[in-house]
Amino acid sequence: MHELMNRPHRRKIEEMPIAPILDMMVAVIFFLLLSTTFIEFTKQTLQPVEIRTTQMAQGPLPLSPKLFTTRTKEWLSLNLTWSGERPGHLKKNITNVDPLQFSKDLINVSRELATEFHQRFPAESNVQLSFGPDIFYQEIISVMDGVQSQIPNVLLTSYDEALRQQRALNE
Amino acid sequence: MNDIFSGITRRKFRHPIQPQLTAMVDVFSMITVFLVAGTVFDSSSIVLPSYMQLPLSSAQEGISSAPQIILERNGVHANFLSSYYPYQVFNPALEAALYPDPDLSRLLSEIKAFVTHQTGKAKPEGLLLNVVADRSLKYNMIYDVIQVFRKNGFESIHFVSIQEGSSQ
Repeated sequence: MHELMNRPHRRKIEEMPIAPILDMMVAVIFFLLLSTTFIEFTKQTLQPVEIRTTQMAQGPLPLSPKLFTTRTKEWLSLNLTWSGERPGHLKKNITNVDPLQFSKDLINVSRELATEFHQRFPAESNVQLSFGPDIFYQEIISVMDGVQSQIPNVLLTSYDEALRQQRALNE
Repeated sequence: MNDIFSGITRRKFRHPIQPQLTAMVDVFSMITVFLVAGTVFDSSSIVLPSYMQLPLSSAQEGISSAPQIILERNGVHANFLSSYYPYQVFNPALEAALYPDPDLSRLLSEIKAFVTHQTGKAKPEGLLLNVVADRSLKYNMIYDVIQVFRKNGFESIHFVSIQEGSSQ
């Protein structure tokens, strides 16, 4: 009874050594701050080339869609053509005022073309992109941005092909 | 007289100012977690020359670890190449020429040696190559360069850009 009535021993609360933790954290923060870049890099992927063999009289003809981007005096011309059993083409023009600047309009126009094609041929997941030799890298990336939002696999083809296509349209 | 003894009288006891260490530790922990999450501990993260302007993109896909080539206004260089190669070397006409250009031959042998060295390290999508290029380059330059690297063993090409909205 006497023991029960006794006040319990006060426990000594051991404090954590916060100062070394703080020291370490400050060092880590400096290291991380110096090694961090606050630029967010993104990428557009060009997948490995896929080789398909088509056997005659078996299955549907391949669509082989191609998007040609060429520059005329007035505008940037985007022309999406495809073959297959129902060949066709879609065309859009855009005035690109400053080709070295990011253009949301160019992304939207290429996305609209890709969306329209994708709605007609939802199974097609590849498109070949060809640009005129005078098309800037910034414009290439913008067109790829728009197209890859709908059709994931893109393949780059020669600028000669874009020139040939432009000449054919002009004739 | 009072003034004379005033210096002798005991000064008032001052409480030392104690910093709020717990709150500081909390804040530092948050900063550390944020920085650790945002840091890329990768040996081949993008090395961007200060004078180069990468294109802006709305893509969301982050970059991958891969060897990189830098396409500047006058030529191409990379860590695995011994020198700076002007764009003329990549001209497809040179490859088709009767007598091989010595610069092109050297370039091709360096690429092939690097690709051979990378055998076994390739990812499922093939041997990757990050292309870091100035936004003012034209398609013919980029295409010619990519063709050379692709024909000689690099299967997947990643065009590196800066996400629209982030500061360069």
